[in-house]
Amino acid sequence: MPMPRDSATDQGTASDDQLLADYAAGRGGAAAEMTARFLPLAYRLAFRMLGQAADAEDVAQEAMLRLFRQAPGWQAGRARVGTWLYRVTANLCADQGRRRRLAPLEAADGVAAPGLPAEEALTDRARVAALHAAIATLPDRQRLALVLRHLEGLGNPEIAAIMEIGVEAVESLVARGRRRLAEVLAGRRAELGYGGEDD
Amino acid sequence: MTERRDDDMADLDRLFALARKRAPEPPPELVRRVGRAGVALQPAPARPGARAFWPRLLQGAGGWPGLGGMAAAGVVGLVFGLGGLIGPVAADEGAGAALSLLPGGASLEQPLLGAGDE
Repeated sequence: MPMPRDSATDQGTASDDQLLADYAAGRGGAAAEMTARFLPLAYRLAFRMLGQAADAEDVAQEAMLRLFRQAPGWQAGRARVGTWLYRVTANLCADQGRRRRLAPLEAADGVAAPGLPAEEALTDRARVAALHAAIATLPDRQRLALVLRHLEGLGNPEIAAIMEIGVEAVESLVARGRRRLAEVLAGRRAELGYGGEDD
Repeated sequence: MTERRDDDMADLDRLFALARKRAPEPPPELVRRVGRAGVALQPAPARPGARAFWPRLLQGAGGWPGLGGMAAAGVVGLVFGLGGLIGPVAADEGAGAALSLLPGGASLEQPLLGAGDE
């Protein structure tokens, strides 16, 4: 899973709440640690929702600035930092999406798989790009629910908390999103290298 | 038909797994920019030896016992102060009263208070 529930749990380092407290107390290095821990989360979601690196950078940076400003007033245990940041990032993406029309995804940029042979890496890149392009055709809420569930690896209750809807509504959004994606990608199975023997 | 749909879903799950493995990462310049912004926004650490105003005031007053004593003294002072205000008003109320010492002598009246001054 790209984003553990508490990103520090498995690392033996300070918990997310403790890290924010350290930052608020002025501990040196806390800002860099927060950046390393939380910026990838905000950037991944923004990139997958908006499909443009430049927009994703703007949104991720703004989300992080809000987290820095929030840290001194953060109440430990009331909410999970990751959940809060996902929600803020999703809201910023919605704002950004309203300002700009969804642009073609740049899924191939900056996501080369290290260590893979060139041909295989190219195929993988094309597959991921095709998936992201198909995701971009989904309605906003289906796209968000599906990205959080299948690309960020979150559970439905946490997605419900992020989207401020019920768990059943999340399940419905994810199921509809999957069906629609499967339909969109069904005509490209051979191109994507899947199920070639059926075609 | 159902088998084909199952195949589609299985393909989709493989694509999700691939996309998770190839997650986009923030560019190094963005990481540096956000890190610098974080440092700029970070509250300054508390100076060693510098304590907040109220704890220092409390300590200067002798701690909680000292503060309790001051509060009690204040209440006592308030009571005396209010008593001092109420007393003269009561006395003034009688300042205009007069006592006639002579039977039927309305012309000779002695003020009840302050008579010894004249």
